[in-house]
Amino acid sequence: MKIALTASQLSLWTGQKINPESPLYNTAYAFDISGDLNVALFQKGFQSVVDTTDAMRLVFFEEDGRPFQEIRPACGGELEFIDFSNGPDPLNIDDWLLSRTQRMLNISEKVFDAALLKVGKNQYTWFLNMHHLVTDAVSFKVIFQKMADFYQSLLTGGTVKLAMDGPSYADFVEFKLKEERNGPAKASDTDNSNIPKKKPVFYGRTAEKNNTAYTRMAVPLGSDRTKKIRDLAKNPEIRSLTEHLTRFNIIAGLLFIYLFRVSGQNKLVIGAPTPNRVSKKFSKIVGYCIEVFPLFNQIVEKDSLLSVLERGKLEMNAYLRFAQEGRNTPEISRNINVLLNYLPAGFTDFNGLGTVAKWVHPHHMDSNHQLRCQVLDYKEDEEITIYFDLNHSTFDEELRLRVPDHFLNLLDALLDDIHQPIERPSLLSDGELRQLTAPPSLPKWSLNDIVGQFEALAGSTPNAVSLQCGSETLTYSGLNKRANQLAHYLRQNGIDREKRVALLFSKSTAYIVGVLAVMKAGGTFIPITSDNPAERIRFIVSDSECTLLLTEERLLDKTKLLSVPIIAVEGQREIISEQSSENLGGFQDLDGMAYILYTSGSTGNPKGVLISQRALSNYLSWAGQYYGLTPDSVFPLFTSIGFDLTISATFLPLLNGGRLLIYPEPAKGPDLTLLQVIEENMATIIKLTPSHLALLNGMDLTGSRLSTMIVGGEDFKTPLAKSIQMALGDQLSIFNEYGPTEATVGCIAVKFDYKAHTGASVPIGTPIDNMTAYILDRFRNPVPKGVVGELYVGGAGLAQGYIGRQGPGDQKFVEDPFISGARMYRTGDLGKINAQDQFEFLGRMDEQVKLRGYRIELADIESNLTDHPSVRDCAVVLLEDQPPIPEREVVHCIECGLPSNYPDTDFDAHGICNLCSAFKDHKNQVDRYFKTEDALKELLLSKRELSPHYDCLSLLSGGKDSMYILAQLIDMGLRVLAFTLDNGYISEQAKGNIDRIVKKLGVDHIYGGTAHMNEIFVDSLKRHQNVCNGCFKTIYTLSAQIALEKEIPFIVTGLSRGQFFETPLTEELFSDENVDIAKIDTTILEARKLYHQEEDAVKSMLDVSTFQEVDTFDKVQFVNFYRYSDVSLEKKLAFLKEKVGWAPPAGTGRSTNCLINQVGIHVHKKQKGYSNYSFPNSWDVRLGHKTRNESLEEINEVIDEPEVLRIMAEIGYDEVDPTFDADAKLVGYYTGNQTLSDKTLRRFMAERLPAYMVPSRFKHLEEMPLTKNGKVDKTALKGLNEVQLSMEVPFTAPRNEIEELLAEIWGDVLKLKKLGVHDDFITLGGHSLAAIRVTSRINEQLDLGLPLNKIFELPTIAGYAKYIEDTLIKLMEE
Amino acid sequence: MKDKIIAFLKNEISEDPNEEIDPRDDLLNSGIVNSMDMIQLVLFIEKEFQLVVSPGDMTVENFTSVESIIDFISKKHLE
Repeated sequence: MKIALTASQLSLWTGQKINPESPLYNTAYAFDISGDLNVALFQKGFQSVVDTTDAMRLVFFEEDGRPFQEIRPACGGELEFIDFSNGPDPLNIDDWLLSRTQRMLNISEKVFDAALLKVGKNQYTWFLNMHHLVTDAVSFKVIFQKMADFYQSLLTGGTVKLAMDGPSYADFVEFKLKEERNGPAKASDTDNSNIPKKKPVFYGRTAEKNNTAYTRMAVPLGSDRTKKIRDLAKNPEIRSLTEHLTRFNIIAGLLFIYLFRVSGQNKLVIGAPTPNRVSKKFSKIVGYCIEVFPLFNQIVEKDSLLSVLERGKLEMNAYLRFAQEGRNTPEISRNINVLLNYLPAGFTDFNGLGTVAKWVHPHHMDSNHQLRCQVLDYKEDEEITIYFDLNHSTFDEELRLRVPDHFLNLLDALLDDIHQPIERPSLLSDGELRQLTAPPSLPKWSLNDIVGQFEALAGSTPNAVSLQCGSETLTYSGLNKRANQLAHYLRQNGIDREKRVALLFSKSTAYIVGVLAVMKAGGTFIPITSDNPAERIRFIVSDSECTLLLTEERLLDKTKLLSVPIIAVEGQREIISEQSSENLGGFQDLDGMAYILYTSGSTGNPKGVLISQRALSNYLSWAGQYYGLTPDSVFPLFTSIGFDLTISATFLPLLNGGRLLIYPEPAKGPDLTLLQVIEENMATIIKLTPSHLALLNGMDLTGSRLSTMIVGGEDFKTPLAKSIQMALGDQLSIFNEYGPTEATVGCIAVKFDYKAHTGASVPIGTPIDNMTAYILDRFRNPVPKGVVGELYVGGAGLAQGYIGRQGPGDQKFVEDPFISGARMYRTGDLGKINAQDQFEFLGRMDEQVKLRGYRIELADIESNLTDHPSVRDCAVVLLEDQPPIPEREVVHCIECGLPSNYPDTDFDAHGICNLCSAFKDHKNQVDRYFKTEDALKELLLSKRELSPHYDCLSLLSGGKDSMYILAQLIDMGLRVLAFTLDNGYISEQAKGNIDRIVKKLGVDHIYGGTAHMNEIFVDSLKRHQNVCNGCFKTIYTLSAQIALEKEIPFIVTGLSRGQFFETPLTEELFSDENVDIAKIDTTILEARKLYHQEEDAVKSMLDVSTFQEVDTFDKVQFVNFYRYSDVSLEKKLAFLKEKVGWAPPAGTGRSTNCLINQVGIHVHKKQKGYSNYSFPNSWDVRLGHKTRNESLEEINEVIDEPEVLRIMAEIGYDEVDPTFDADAKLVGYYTGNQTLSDKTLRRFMAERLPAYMVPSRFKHLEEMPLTKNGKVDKTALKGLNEVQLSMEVPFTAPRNEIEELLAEIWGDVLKLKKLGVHDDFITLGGHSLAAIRVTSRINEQLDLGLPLNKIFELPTIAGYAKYIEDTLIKLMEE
Repeated sequence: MKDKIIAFLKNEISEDPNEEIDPRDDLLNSGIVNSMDMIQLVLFIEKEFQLVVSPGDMTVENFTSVESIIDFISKKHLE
């Protein structure tokens, strides 16, 4: 009798199916028995065990794709006997056991494998391996006991009772299945808010898929730790119902804390198997009874071991309380990657013979599990043993050796002090600690006097060109002389050691001369960019207490507020040129300050960072060597002078005999000098931000002289680096340089290596000479490699501090705990050290953002925006485009092939997508929509007497599907007119097909077309990221015109069944069990009417007036052929061969009828990450019209990119590249009694902040959205899209339940994160299909029958909600 | 109440149905009730006596003996 599988068995079955070659569920024990065994009786006893244990006689098989199990009446129970006692090497036994355990069990024949080994005199090993599907830990004990009883009975001359004793596994399975059919016992009433939404990531390592290999690592507790755990279990604050439960809780608590410490995730779930022998009668059966239930814990701030265990105690009670059917949802199991297997009892002796039971593990585990913690807590007087099974998918050899240490270091510290914060103890071993806090590498040079270095070059190569700005060039000697003259003049004006001089300049020769002159005079320069508003300049000048301000004539306007002496250099040129041009000499003070740079502060005012000569010299000396500067180097200065990144260009060429090229910013408008740099092509080395680099991406860079690129200032994405490297080849070295202003320009760097650097971002590398970097946790312990922490930097390049804030109270510059007497800087950046020992940057801890390389404190902008009298409250966010999921991380549904990056796709634990799961529930409803070919014939003939010429018009593209339709229609005896849209890109092959079939069948055929096809393509690419939508609509429009003209009542289309589900069907239509097909047809027709009214290129370019007439759709009806035909590809081809003698061309079988189609696929993939065929193909697979492999081949098809680019140029489509967030922008949200124009606010802000800090958009909110904690909900603010931001109505969040429901439905359908009740449906991209989905969902949820077009009449949530409310009131009154 | 609980323990929980259980016997440390049996016992009490046992109720004090279980149930009924 075949029996279905229990849910737990099913899960194992699927796991085995996914990994058919892996022995991951082989469960084996080796019982070493000391004593003289009677082998024959032992064998007989084992046979009896098999005969009386139904689970051992189960076999598994599939029928119609569903697994079943069946009990065989008899099954070979022979126990193989192998004599190893004369063997050469007893060590071989372990090898034998392992290889035998790894032998795959053929569960369609036999679910176990057993042997008795003689390993020495009076020494035997009984080996039993069973598939997990039929056994568990308790079962082994039952079998062991049974075996012992039977053997004893046979030994004493008795017989064995062969009848089954008590309930069997079959009874248990039946009991479980019944329980499962009845559904969850009851809805659990626990709080679900602590259920984690994702798995913890161990040590920053993403697990590779389907790896089952693991290594079992001992975590030696020894007697001391065992005693400590047992003692702690007696603590009344921790004590649970039983001692075992208490110890289980302690180990679970330690495991939770360990997971938190190595993943940073605070909401955690561990899977814990329970014996699940729910009734006493099942306590002695053999079979797979266990079930894995989730155990939750949420780590909170200030947790100690004690507080975690107190919470754990309650969670464990909840776990026990709800460890029953229905508690474990797919959503939860999917996020279980850690298992805690607590085994409280071991094996006894074998009939008085000493027995040691060994669990032989197959070195393979469920690939979903990354860590299994096995706890053997057998006897009160024995040590507790812990093993970690570490999946190789996550833990490489190096890490596997460290994990037990990390866990034990944590355990030791926490057991010693159960009240301390769980984050305090260090996880690291001494060796790791030494490695991670190694002192900085020493430089290969001595720190130089910067001025001296430049002056030496002016002496040795006086005539070399040092600087060029437009047509002006200066030699080294010339530049030195000019700087000397100004320096002497500054001296006369009181500039001496440590005196500060503000330099308010545009990028110019005068600025460079100024910098050198101030340094020569011994002073400190403060660069101020010309785009700063007067108020900000006033603040900097006063805050820095500078003695003097040097500037240009044209910037004098901005200096009116100042009270320091001001020198505009042009005006003083005559006096300056009279000064001595000799070097001033004598300054070698490395401790003096070189410059002060102002960066955005969180108070609304910028803060000045003090950089010493030593710090600057350290960077410049290192950079000169690392980046290979020579006298041939040409280095452009085109970035803002107020930007720490620009220091490289300012000094590096001049200290290495190279040439500095200056590109002044335009007086007005955006600074596009980078493009000029590239165009002029003189630079050999350039320093720029990733945002700059993105501008170059896609430009023709052939012939470029660039050999070195230094990229810094913000996160550098790998695809961008790769793309630039590909464009310029190996001649180009790209460097990623990281460094906050506080650590002088750059302190961590790496050369980009496109082979090694495969993560989302290029790593930032390793510390430069004389610098250190650490990743530390909150207690300033170094975190293990891979774990995320805060990046700290220190060393010679460290700034002195902030102006006016130096001293011990400084939160940012703190003591270096690893180097005595040294300081370090808290960067506020999150980072980790990767497996290659390189640092990676992972974002900010606070509200500081980077925009085009500029560092901005959002609080700085907010504080200034609140100054506006009409602004009550405000919040500023940086909007960035979300990077798409990298292709290598995309997985496909194991049933239909839908990719995981398709919007809102959710996969269950077995890798099945939500659409497939839902489809299983309403497959019957969907089936009812489809009809037969006879019904089609009947329909198409139904209006014959009204149609003078043709029964139908058939759309013919030249592909096999449309040819098949045409041939079929003719075969049905219909009068057919064939129609082809010549869109300009039909292949010669398709045209050949068309000509051939039309001739062969003797069918009338016409080509249609429009001169606006290219505009329609471009519009379709922009609107839908494909070409098909535009093309289809054109076909419908033109064919409908012909049909009306020629009085043809039907148009037969050839959409595949999968395409139906893209348009016009939606899953929602079928969710009702008693679906009314006629109603669906009405809805679809209504949607079609709306579809032809939508504003797009087709509507504006073609004549669509007929669609506005009421009776058009009575005169012409669209009929989908494949709604009536369920034919396989094979049959189709056979039919075509027979009727028209056509066979498909040899080759890949991919569609080649339409040459422009791949442009659509390319654009769709690039912008959305997946092919536009992914969704319809998944439906074709689901409905059995394609196989998963055929679909995958099609959606992963290689695109001929040069051809695609050629066609794009031909139709006039400019590709937008969404990969790099060049569109990142600041948005200011505010509340207040009136809406202010963006222009007004921008002007207001421009008076207070430098241009790069002025938000580009502002949005008036009725109320500021708040999080549960009462903070401004910035995530919600980031959820508004471009269209919503530009709507004139203020944003208003939903105000009542109906509005909330509507917002949720709209958001789902329109794929928007946040909806305001005044947002307009159509403006947000709502179209007829979206209207079907929205209306169907509303009708389903509220049990109403609202018409489809209502949403176009009432296109806002507020309006629609009111309408629903009125409708409901009316219904109640009736 | 006492008899119902003892009958349940004997029939559904205890290894030996003939074992005598005294209302004052230590259920948890004598091995009569193991950790996993708690699930059964809690479900039985909820169903039989129409109350909800919250995770916080599952303490040694409330479940140590048949007597303490009776006290607990009475307390719950008063709430």
